[in-house]
Amino acid sequence: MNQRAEAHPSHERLSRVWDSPKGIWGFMTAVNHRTVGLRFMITAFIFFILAGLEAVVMRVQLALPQLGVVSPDFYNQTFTMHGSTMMFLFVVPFVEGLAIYLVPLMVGAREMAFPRLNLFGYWVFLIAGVTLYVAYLLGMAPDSGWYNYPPLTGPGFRPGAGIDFWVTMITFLEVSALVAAVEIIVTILKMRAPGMSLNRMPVFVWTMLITALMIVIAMPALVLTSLMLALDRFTGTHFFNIAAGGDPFLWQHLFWFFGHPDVYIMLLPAVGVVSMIIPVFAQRALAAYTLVVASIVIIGTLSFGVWVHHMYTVGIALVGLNFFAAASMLITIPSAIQIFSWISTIWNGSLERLTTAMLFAIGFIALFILGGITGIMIAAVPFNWQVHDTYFIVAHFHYVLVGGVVLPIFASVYFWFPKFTGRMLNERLGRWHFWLFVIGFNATFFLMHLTGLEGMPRRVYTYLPGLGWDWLNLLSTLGTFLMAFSVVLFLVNVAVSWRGGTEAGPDPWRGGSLEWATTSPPPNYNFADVPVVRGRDPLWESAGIGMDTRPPWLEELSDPSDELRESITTSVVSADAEGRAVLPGPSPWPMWLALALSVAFIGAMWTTALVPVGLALAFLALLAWHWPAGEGP
Amino acid sequence: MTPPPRPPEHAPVAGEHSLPRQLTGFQSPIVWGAILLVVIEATIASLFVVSYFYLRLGAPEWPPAGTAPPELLEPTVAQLLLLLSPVPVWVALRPLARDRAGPLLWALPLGLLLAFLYLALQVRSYLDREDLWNTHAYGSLNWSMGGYAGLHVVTVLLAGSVIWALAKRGHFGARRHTGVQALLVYWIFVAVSSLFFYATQYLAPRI
Repeated sequence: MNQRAEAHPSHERLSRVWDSPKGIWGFMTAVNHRTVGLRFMITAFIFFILAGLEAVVMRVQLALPQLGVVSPDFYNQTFTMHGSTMMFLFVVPFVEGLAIYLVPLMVGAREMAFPRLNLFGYWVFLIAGVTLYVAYLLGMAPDSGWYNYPPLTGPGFRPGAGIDFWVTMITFLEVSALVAAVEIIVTILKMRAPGMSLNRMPVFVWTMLITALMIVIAMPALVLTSLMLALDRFTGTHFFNIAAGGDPFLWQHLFWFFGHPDVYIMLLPAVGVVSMIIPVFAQRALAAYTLVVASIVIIGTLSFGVWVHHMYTVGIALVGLNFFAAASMLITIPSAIQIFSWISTIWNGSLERLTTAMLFAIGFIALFILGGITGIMIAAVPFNWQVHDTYFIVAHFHYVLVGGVVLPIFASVYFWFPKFTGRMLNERLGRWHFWLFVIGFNATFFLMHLTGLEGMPRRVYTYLPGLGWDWLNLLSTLGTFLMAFSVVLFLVNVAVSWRGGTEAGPDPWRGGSLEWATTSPPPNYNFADVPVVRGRDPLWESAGIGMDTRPPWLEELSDPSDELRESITTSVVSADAEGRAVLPGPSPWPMWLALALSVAFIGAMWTTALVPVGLALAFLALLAWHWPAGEGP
Repeated sequence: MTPPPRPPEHAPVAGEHSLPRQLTGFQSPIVWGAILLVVIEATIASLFVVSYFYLRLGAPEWPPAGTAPPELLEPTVAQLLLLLSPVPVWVALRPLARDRAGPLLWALPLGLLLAFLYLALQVRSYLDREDLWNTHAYGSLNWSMGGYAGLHVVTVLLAGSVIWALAKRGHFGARRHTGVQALLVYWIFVAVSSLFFYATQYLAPRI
């Protein structure tokens, strides 16, 4: 392993071939997966901060009874934007960015399968997110909650622009999630380093494979249902209009057929992150790798059979409810397998290196168990009827989503920041961040269980004094400030360490997977010598990486005399070398395609005549994108 | 910290020869990408069909009172034409793999003509319909499913024309025809998925 990429004899030629353009032009055209991945993560994190500020606004409004800090209308827009941002603009794009950055490094590839598709996905994400926030600034944000139920959101009850923004921009965003998913699946199936058979893939790569497959199956449901709602609003169709033969429950079924798998789409990558971090700091291989992978696959499958547990109160036959209650409780079994695997990895390993990343991983286990327990409680139909639409539900899903997803996201930043930047984050500030965040989180959300049991409904703009909710709400608000302050510490830490942190070197944690086999940050071609893998933790096994004899194709790869970007493709199961994929370089067309499509999506809000215009422009952009290089029209 | 080394199971097979650059079939990432696109589209199409029957389940009459069941002859002919349309390209792939690009040059226009005839017949039959998309949910389903299928055929027509233009320039051969394979994967999906729409829209209301 070279400490410095420059030491490799092929470095200069390879970095010229894989070079990205700089400046504004580079921002519009660069396709390298690490550039795009980092950009996804940073943009998503900015949306996280905005959504956090929205949470603070809501908590201030609810701190005391009968406050009037914001108007009821603005409050509705704020909780809708908070939920929509966290679900659609933060977690999924951040996790996809992390995967776009890490998956090729972990599987030993130089690039992803469709680099330009990555860039297209980023532009779509950026345009859709910014458009939603422009609407919010103009006071025209959607205001009917993140799941946007008709008939409230139908043309009869919400004629304004707010819901128009939701149905068009969320659909557009799903395009971004879908292309990233396709990209991740094909990269994992076809671009792994020779020898990395499926049973040797790092757990994070497994979770991303299953997550991406779930995106491919689940997100089309959201695309279809928001398309139907858009048609109801723009062209007068009647999909959700009960007076003309439609049915608002169709929305609920389709939405939750997406929505519940979406919870696991967010959770599984977190499982992968934690399964990478714990073995490194416990200093032993992950316990029961095969069972953990099996449980990931089982969760992915079962998650498509539980959507009705969001709809217990709408009046579905009890036989049906029993089935969905049983399926919902069944999911605890594979989840428990994972938790026991992490516990026994730590138990049989060591806890000497209790770094910030490890703290966040352990915090995740604790909070996720709590969220899981309330999950079993609300899977039971009678209890669910009791607490439906109260703050108990708010507490439950924040334990699952903040404890289960945001904590691992922080863990992932502490763990891989050295790889992203070549610098370590400050551990002392990191510990403050962790403890303040966890204490603030529990102050805010543990109490909400009680608030909910006391009967406070969610989504109310204010409440009357003397209902027993006053002190609970006040303490929840104070906890929110603690969490917000800890995130400020985190931002300071990132800002200071990016330039001035201690040098990390290629492998600061003594990790076992391939991303630690290259420099930090990696050179733009990732690996000069394509690794050949012989084990599950190649860097830990003395004979786990490398080759006895250098096959001729390796020489060809490290000598790109004909100036092509190449990476090895391998067979799906056993990862035998099959060929060299020639990958495209920088291009402006992905951006133009995203802009052309936004003419259709944003334009639909004014007149549907702009839809065919946008699609025609998109065809032209696609044509230019795919036209073979050097063959002029 | 090093865990006990595991014995190497099997050394990866790396051919002695140099690795090929032009990959076709399941070796090609492009074909995998086309398959996943089809999975996404197929999910949307099946949920469309599910939505149709979900709304039908809650309806007292289907088609709604005063609406005649759809006419059968023209859509059936159109459907058969669309099912046949990918066949010529499928046949032309075999000679192409043996580096004979000639058959593709006539097979593509023939297939595209069949797909175009489908589109023309469908447009005609939709213009004849009495119920519109904003008449009732039944009309909304029919028009949006028809629009969805039609948009896919337009995509095939556009993409097929581009592939044909490339083929005229001698772009495809034995080593390079992933583009044609990807088009064919998509085309077959369009033809087969429209069969499900056909059964839902034209046969089911008569049962």
